[in-house]
Amino acid sequence: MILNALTLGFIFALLGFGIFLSFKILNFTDLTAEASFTLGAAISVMLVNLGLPEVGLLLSLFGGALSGFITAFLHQRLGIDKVLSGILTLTAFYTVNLLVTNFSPNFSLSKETRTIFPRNEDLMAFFIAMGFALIVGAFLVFFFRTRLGISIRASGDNEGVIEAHGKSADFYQCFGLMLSNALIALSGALFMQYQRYYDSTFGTGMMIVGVSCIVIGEIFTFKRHSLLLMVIGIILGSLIYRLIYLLVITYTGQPQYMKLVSALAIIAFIVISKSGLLLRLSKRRERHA
Amino acid sequence: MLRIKDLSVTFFKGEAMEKNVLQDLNLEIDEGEFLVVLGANGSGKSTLFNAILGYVPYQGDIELDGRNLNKQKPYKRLKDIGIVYQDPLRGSAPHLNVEENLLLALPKGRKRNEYLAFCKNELSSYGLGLEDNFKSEVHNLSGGMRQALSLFLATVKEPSLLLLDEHTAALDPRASEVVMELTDRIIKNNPKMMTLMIIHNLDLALRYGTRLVVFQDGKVSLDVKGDEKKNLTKEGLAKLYEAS
Repeated sequence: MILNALTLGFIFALLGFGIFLSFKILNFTDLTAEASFTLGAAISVMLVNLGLPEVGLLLSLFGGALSGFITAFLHQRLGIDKVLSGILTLTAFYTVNLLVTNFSPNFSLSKETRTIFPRNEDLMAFFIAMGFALIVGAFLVFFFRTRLGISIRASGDNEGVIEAHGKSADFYQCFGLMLSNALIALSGALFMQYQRYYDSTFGTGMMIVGVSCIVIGEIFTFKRHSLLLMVIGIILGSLIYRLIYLLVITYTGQPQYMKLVSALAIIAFIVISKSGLLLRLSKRRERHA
Repeated sequence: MLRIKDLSVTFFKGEAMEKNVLQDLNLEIDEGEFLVVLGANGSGKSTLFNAILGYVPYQGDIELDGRNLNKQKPYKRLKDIGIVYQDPLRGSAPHLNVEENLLLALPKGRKRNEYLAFCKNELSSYGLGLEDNFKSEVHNLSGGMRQALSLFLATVKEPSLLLLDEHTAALDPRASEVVMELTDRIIKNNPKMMTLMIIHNLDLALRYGTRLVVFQDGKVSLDVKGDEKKNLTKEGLAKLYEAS
């Protein structure tokens, strides 16, 4: 069960990366996440049923990028508020996701259907999920140090400075939203393939899961803006979140408690993060050393 | 040359009320000219900058080096215009480090390491220690260092026009002096660049500007240059300023 929780933790780390990118780096409260997560799963289940799980992952990336593009278009070209743009895309994509699955709200994969996670090989599934999280995490650390990545970070930090260098801040914001939703959709696609079923309500509540990963992860960054620490923090945050989930299920037997526990966990971790408790402990340890 | 022809900017306050912030303004600035813009708050100085950058709708024409800017988006105008604001954090991305901010201005085709070495060399000549703080996030630097970095970022692309919007106003007197001397040096190193500087300090205006323009109610009420400017004292300027 712990292995299962950790595997899901690595899969949801990708969701955390995506939400971190839009909320923290781009400073864009993007609510598209819940739609792109389901879209990734929907695209993935259709391709898995055709015997093409790898293509399903690839196309889910493009699907997520498209949903991010639409949110950016609504905000930048039509002047719609950031939050409302995300809500409109989220609403529209509920139907789009049903269209992708031919209006089937759920699917269960047969025993013979192949996904990228081998059946009944939990350890292998764990390593595959970990591989995805580490590779994507390493890619993000590298990418955000490239010229394009730095420009995306700067566009969220001070839009004016991007324009001052003769570049369109809209372009970088749009690119960032596409990348963010592509990662979220990939997380949805992996989640579907690991769980071996699809449900059109997969995305519901995913925003809070992603935010939880970030908030929990932030206490490991010691308030530094190091990209590497942030990526590690999100992965750790996601793993801890899934372990908390496992504890709640084990002791209550009721997954419905998780919403309440999520909210309480976020509050607790924010308080810990703001108090700088871990930072003080780390400094004390450095002094003793 | 910067040519501003019949420039008017109107702000609407509610349905019926409107305010003409700039009214039929005509101004020509030659290559290498350092024009200081003086005037009371609300006289239209900053609105002129915002119109040049395309941040406010306006009537009239703005031409830079023979190109009409009217239909260009702000970011396209800023390819040839550098700007430094009063707030030292506006000229850079505060949560990115100095090196990353410098890389935002990396010219196309130029090698990263060679460009950073050039920046380090240039910044070391500023004497503020910026070259030793490449890995520091900008919000952790002093106001003077932030503004020096803003100046560097605004001018490294060798713009034909530099706009300085009270860029020393938020600094302490010592830092203000250092940044102003630095500004003067950068301008002298770019002899073709036109500079427009908004400032309230008459001493600095007289010391550095090659031409002084006073704004009142959206119009130029005084324009002093050449010998007339050279013979002007602070008291004389203050009298003209008050009378304008």
